[in-house]
Amino acid sequence: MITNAIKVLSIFLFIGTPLFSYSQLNKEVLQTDMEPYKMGGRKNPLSKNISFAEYKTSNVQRKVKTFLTVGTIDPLNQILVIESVPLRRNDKYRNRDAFRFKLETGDGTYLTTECAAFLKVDERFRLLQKQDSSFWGNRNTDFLIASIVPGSEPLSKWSLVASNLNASKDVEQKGKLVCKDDEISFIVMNLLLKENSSQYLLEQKFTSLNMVYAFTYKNEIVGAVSVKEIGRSFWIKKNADKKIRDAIAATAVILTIRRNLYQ
Amino acid sequence: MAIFILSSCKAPKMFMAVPEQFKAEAVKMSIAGLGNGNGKKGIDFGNYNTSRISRGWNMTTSREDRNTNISSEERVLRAFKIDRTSITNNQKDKFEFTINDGKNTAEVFALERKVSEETRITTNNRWLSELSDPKNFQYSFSAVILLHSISQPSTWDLSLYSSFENKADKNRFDMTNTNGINEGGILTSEKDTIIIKSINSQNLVSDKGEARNLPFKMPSGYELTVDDNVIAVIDFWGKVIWMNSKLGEDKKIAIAAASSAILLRRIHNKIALV
Repeated sequence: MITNAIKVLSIFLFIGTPLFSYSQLNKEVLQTDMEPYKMGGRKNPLSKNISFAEYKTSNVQRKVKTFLTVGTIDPLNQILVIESVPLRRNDKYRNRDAFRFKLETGDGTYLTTECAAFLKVDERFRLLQKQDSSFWGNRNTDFLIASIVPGSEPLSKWSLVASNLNASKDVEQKGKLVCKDDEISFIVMNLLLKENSSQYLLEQKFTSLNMVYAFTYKNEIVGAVSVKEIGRSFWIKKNADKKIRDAIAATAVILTIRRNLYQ
Repeated sequence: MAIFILSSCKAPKMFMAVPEQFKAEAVKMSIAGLGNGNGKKGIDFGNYNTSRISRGWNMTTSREDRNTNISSEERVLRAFKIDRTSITNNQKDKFEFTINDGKNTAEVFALERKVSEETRITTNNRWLSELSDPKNFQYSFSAVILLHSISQPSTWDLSLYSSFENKADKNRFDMTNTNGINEGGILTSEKDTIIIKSINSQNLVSDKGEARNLPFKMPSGYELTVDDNVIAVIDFWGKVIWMNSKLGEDKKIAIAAASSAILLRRIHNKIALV
């Protein structure tokens, strides 16, 4: 009990020393005119499906390998410990998340989405030495790939690639969606957005600052989805092209239902 | 005797130092009835007075959340295998009031929201129990001001925002708590745009006009500017509003309404109060 408290205190003393470098995520504040929609579902761990705007998910399925962690056991991690304080640690393990779902759109069409996320952790900690880049997660591999196939146009498939979504490194969390000549990119940032789509004119004018994945198409922010679970919302430009709107909605679902692989 | 000594040692009232050039063209208005700004009582300053403040519920909801970034502290906690959870708090508050200057009236509807994320550390020690370390927050204050002016009715939108990101190079002994905080604000109508900037000041002035310097900068108020020219200052220290006397009546009451709304907020946007 006391050793745990000593550990916590020693950590805060350790943090005070100027050993570390830390690069902040790129945060911006912008004013946009996107329409907000509350995301329903996910209020308890058993509810898989979510709904928002004119979209609704169905058939959310996860593969068994999602729940397995594969790692290398380093016996020195257990031996080089004094009063529960580690002198050194090597952490090496892999986590995966693989799932698929159908996204029904308002006009009766649907998109089929398959997704695989992969995290390989390779981190080292040395109590009495200056930390190397692996301590900051620079040797970690953290990416997500997905395909989004519209049911009505199977040849117009969107490919999604994203990196560092588990925030395992001190670099930006971002991704890209590509379909033929169309390209949508997204990044985590703070945006000043409409609070809700209330029927009252006054309440429609309220704005709030949100940490979101902001989607950019042709140099313009056209959509956003909350990063945080609490008060999760989705924003989309009213006049956005349906193809772009559907792709952003499917990606918003991926970013919402993905598991956090970095524990 | 002791009571006499205590009452004679009353601390002088302190004000934020305001530039002389602005002071020469501005009117100083002391605010009466503000208290700590959390009450329902109306406030008065200059020839402006507000109605009773109609407040909604000040609601806070919390839930365990996924990590949005890993702070330096968390990286060490991971190595030490200490139990920690990422918690997100969502705090919301609404209020409304009217303000008038004897001729014109403005209705103010305001919404305040703060989403903050913290790492909660379990120490298993009765003296330390749980520790929490703030990771980031997004604070926003949004208000709609409906101006029922004699010359022309208009609508003004007020937005104030600030965000914080935990950084390793922060100075834990910096009392301003502004390291890593981005702040800004805007007050707009169809015709006008007023930029709002927060002021962290070290220089104060006593009510007798003596200059006093704090050992460090502290959040002291806001300045309202148009094209980089200061047109109004809200002083938290002296509970005073300075306003340029040459402004039009419409702009004056819009600024008075916005200043009142800023002073009547209940949720704070500083780290110490996360």
